[in-house]
Amino acid sequence: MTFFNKYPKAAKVTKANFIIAFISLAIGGFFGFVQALHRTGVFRGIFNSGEYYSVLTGHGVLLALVFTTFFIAGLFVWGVTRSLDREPENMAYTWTWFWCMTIGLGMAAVAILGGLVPGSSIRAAVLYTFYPPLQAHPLFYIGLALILVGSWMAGADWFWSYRKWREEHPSERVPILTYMALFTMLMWYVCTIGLAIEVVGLLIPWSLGWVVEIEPLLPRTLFWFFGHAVVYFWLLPAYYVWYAILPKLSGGRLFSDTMTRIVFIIFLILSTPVGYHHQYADAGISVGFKFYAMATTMLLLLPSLMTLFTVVASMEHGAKQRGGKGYFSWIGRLPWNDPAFAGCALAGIMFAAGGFSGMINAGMNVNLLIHNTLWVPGHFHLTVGTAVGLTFMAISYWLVPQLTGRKLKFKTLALVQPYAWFLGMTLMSNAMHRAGLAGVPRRTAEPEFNTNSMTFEPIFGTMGEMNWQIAIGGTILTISLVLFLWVIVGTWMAGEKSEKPVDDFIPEPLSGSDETPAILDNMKLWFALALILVVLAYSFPLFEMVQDGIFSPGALPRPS
Amino acid sequence: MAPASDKSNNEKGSNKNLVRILVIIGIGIPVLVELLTLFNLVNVRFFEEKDKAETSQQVEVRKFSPGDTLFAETAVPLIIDDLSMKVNPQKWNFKLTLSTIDELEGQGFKLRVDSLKLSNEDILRVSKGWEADGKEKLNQTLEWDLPSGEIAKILYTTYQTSSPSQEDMPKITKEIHLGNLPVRYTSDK
Repeated sequence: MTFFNKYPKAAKVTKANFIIAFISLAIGGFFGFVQALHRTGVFRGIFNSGEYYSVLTGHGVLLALVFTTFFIAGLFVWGVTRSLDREPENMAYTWTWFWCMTIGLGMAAVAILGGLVPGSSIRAAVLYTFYPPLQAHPLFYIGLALILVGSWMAGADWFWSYRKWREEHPSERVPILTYMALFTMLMWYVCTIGLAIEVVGLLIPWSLGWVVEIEPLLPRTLFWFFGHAVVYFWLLPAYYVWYAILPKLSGGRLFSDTMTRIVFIIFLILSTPVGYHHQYADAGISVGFKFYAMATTMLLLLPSLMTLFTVVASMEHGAKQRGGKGYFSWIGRLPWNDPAFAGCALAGIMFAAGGFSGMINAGMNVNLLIHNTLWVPGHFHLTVGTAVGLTFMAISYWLVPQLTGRKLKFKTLALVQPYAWFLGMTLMSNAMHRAGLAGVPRRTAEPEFNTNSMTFEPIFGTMGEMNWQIAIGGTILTISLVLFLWVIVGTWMAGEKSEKPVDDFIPEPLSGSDETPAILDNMKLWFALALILVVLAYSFPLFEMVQDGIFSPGALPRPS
Repeated sequence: MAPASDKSNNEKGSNKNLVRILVIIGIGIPVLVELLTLFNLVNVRFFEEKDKAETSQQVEVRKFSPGDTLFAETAVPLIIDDLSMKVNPQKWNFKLTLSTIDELEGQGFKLRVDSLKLSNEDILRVSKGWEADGKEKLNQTLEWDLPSGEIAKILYTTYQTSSPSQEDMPKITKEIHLGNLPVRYTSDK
């Protein structure tokens, strides 16, 4: 008996979320392929340079907002249901949040794709950050608002399950799979306050013409209130997989339940107050607030380093159960022939590189060397593109059999896929980082366009070589994506049916929850602390911005 | 049982070989790329002297922008008032607005833009002209619909002025290289 048999209703919801996620991944991934060829000048025949910005918006929104959110929703339905051993409390409510998110996605997608239709007045070439002065059709903003509301409802659904479970288990520790999901959602509730105010309070009225003028500073600040924490909304589910499932795939057990809970608490309290590190170059925010954000950002290295320790220790334990010995040679004993393991492990390795380039972004002074250059996408393709994206793809090889009752098909292709992704992403991201250091701008269809009297000067190599490296890396990534979709569709539709398609047993941690301090489960305490830190970081700067009028922050005082 | 276990051993063996190849290509090449990057960065920073005089001499071609004067050597120079692209999903429109600098005092001129060279190196053979004489200061806008995604780079022109006594001056044929044009999105159809 697998998840599909034990919890058929939850399996259906999870699969529905995964279907939307994988379709978004396919379209968004295709757009990324087009971009890699277009902006490097290798091939510009698919879309023109004006349409590039709609394609770029589609790539960012469909991958970074839609693929992630829907996959996370499916993953957490699986995890909460399994660990609490109960189906969702009310399926009508559960399907309501799913359809709310899906309808919102449809609206936003129509707006984005409308920009590629000749004669269409509906467009949303506002990029994934979507703040003014770029303006989209109201359909885009309303669609995003629906996705947001649906995600809030999804979180409430899991808290509901937890509350009902708690009534029946008053003294038990929160199971780790539910704990991590709930803390991720607590962080989501904190950070989406800013986004909700921005979208509903400012952008929708502006796009409908109720407000004629808008000053970008306040919407930008509200977006980045959300915009850094959202990367942890993506990352924490990847950590969810690395903590809860990767040790088992390695053949071992999670090293420490306590460390896991502490890491999630740190992310809850520190994810949101760091938003100004995306606004180091913004006028209108004093350097003191930016410094505070920089300090808290540096602290965020801590939980990732703790994760590095815990996950590697867990993998070492697994390798040694499989006969591994020595300081390093145990690495060879890990199941590198298991696609789910290989993908998660490679994603973790690549995340370390992304973290190092992130430290450059975090430093207020060195940030100015790479601000708005191709270095920045180079960084986040390592972190969200691989640490999150590849982890989600890899764990699908383990989850989809449980959800469908079918064994994984095309195992050889599944095994090749993560290695191809790792290769393609290294090539592409390496060249993006180097191009950024040479000053090549991001978010530009033709980077060479405004270089009338200058050329980009790479530290070594040539621009042509870097462009080709990006294009080749992007092509390999696209091939890897096609392999993934082929395997998943093949498994889903035609995998061999089985009562036990995959070994889905997850052993208890080496140091379990009975050794974990009870205070770590006190969600109210940590949520309150998170809110306090957000108030400390944002209250005064936001007050300064709005005191002259919410649609014109920073304006001179007007006569009353 | 032996054949089944042989088959299983063969499968394990080929799987091991596949993993070996994947690790060498999928992990080995990335590690090599990163090591080469590190080596080159350190090498350039600490050991190489950059020779700044290496840039080859290139012939500078003057590029024209709004505010520049065309045919300055003639009796009737023209000033570029506007040089821009207006685009929407249906069309890419190139606009050139010219005006005379001074009032015409009986002089005349014939301007013909015979063709345009586009950013994809194609030649658009759509000819537009402006012909005038008289006393006043004049201006004119010439527009072309370009293929989607293309921007005008060079204008191939023929220009001829005439004196107040209607005597034609020699024809001038000129390539006018354009600077980077602002490309603006418009929802106008």
